[in-house]
Amino acid sequence: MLAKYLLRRFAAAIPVILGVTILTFLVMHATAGNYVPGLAYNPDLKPADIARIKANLGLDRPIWLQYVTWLGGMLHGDFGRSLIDGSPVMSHILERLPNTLELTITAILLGVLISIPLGVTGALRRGGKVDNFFTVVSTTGFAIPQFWLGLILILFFSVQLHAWGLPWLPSSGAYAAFGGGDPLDRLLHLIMPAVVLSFFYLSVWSRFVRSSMVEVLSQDYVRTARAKGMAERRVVYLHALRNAVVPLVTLVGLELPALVSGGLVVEVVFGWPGIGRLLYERALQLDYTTVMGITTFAALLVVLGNLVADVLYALLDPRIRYS
Amino acid sequence: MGSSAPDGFDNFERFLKEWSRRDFLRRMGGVVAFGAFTAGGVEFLEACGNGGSSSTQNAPQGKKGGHLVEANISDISSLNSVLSSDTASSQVISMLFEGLLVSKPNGDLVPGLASAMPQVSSDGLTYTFKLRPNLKWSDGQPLTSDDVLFTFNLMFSPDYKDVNSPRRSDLELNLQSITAPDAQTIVFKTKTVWAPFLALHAQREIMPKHVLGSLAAKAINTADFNSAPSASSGAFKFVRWDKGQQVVLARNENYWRGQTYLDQYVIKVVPDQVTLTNQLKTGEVDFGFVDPSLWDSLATVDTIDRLSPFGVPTFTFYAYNLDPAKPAGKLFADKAVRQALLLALDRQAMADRVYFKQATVADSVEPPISWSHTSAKPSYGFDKSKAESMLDAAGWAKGPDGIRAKGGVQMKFNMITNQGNNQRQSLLQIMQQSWADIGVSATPQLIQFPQLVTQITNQRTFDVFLVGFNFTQDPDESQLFASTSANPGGFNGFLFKNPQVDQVLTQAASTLDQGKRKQLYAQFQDLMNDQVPAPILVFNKGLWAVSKRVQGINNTVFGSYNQYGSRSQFFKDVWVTDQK
Repeated sequence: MLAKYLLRRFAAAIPVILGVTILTFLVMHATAGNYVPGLAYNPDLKPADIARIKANLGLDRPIWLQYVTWLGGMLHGDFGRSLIDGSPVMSHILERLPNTLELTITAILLGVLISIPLGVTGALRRGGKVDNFFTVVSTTGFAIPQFWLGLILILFFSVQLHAWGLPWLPSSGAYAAFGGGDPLDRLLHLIMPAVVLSFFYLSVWSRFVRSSMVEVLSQDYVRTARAKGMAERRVVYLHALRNAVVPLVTLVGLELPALVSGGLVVEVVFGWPGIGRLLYERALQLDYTTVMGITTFAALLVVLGNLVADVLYALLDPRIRYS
Repeated sequence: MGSSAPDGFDNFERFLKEWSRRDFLRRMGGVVAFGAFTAGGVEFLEACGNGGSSSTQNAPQGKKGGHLVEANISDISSLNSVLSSDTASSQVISMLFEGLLVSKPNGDLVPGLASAMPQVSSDGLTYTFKLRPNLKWSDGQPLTSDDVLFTFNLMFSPDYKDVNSPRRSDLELNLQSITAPDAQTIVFKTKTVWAPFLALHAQREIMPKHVLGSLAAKAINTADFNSAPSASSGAFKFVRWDKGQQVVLARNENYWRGQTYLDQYVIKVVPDQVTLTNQLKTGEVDFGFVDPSLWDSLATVDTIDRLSPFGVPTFTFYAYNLDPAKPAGKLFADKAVRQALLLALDRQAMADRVYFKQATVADSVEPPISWSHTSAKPSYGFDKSKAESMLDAAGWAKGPDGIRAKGGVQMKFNMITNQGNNQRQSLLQIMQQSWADIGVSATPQLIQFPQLVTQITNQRTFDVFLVGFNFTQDPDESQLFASTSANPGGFNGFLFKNPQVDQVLTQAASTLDQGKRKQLYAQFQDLMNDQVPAPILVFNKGLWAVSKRVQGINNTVFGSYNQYGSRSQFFKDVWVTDQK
């Protein structure tokens, strides 16, 4: 039963992935014109060379044929090679994946760990000064563009602190260019990008925890718990919070696909060598194969995540049956 | 449900709740996240390969040991000199490899791997190079004329047509043969006298045949060597490339000029110009180029030396579409109109405001740093009233709406440049304003770079485009201004066709007599200043800053023609005072 269901779900996911790849392919082509990725356009570049390289790369063939060829490779698990540097797209992705995971997972953890106490405090002091302050903070966090916040942090924590002769934070990269790479060095490089990325998460999630907590606190069982003389702290943190954060866990779970692509802006601002920046740079350079590789990879993750989700969903909730 | 949250958030929270119905992840979310984090932690702990400190060995001047970090805003793409065409790759390639000849900062060619300048036969068709004796690759293999022959065959031999080299057609068109009569000798024969040959091709870095020679043509394009060269011939050898982050090089013990003082050299990728300058200030970066807008901010940083700004072969120009079949062709057919429009531009103000005084107004189509440069006639100082009277005389009278018109056609057109280049956008805005002042309506338009390229080389439906290019070291500009380059795919997208210019360019490229060439290029520059089909606005300056702890990078060894190439030659004498 389950196997049959899985098979059907998987079949249903195929058109989605195909759609994503076709769309990406068409968008890339629409902007490409006669441009050959990877060539520096200068007058010493001769038309004959452009034409020959274009043909070597297969870019002179009809669009549908290019797509089918790419798809054929993909069906064999071959993500193809970058049009710019000729190295396998998969190697690019795998090389950047750990960096991206390091950043996004840290940001998500930070977001969760900070948003819960923030939300709970806000709910307990509804309408009070603290609550209002948190509201301002989260509204700000939601409204501030990440790139701007990133630049401001760099300006202060790297440039200004350094100018004042105080300890300062490195402004770009995942580790120091020389002698770096030890955990402490990586941690120092991680701080600013992770803070910027998590600021957005905690702004959203703390509001969410707050409203959910407010709702739970008005439930009968909370009143019962209080009525039977249970300590307020126990009521809040043991009974109420437990139920209040359940939807948050779902919300955080929905961010899982963003593990791969979620930090694009932050990665660009902080020169973080992750997948988001790779996608951004290669899209600007029209490296079709790399861009398509990344989008397909991300699409696969999303579909896979949803599939796993649905299965777990049913496992956790006996009321749901596959039919 | 009672919520005291502001209204905006209410809606937002409702939206989030809709999403949260599937609560499958209530338990899984944290577990998955933690698992992935520990997996990432392996990478987290990965140690950075750090070359052991070398034994101290005092040299007359410098001290051995330490490293240098240079920053660039683009990552490299290929370390194979035959394939690469971008400057980020070129500069690293030139630190790993050397060519037969190398370029001095002022553009003079001097022997590199060749022991002397080539012997040229009296008919000007044969160039004979002798290699230096006992040249070795970094892996100990001998470097011979076989390697040179192999490198050029990748770009020339019909067997290697599938190699994606952007330099093949030039060699195919002009070269007769390349031979290596013995291990030290390499002979190039050209079909006709071909003056730009040395400047354009003799600096091409030699690739190792013993690494690449066994590969089929197609496999050269994707060889591991291209991203991790296992043998080099320049000042450094390759250590590793962390894509998107940095390239690490180390001393090449076999370099013919001698070993570098530096243990390691790191070329780091930073997101943008602002970060690059910031990191120069914080000392994260020792060496890098600086955006004109940030140049002054480095003046007060006492850990940094700014090299004297030097001219570079980079230029920014706009071009009028001269195709008679296009609407703009009718506007710009009369050279008086082209001249008047140029006169109306305050280019000094452009240099001052857009380039923060770090650019010079172009007085010719050849850069001032070129041996061929002359101050061509006529010159175009800013003269608004002369511009207006010239347009009046040409029959373009101001209409009731203030816009000039002739025979019912208004002087109205679009100007395109690529999105994302602030300097070019500002230039177009200044041009729009300056021309509006004399009754000409020009509208700036920003398009994506690939489309701009397609507009220039193929579609050619633009009215005016603005773009920047790099000149090659040789003054030949046929690729931009000869009528043959107006064919589809060529860079003469503005369809400038002038028989006199064609003739002078051909003559100048087919004599090796530099005095005669200089004369011909002077003629060419005067012709171009008269015709102004594609006026150059300004010539850019190269702005570089280097940390005070670095010795040996200065204006004597580093400049106009070796900022992005021929770099190995001076790194032997570069050292860091703290040996870190």
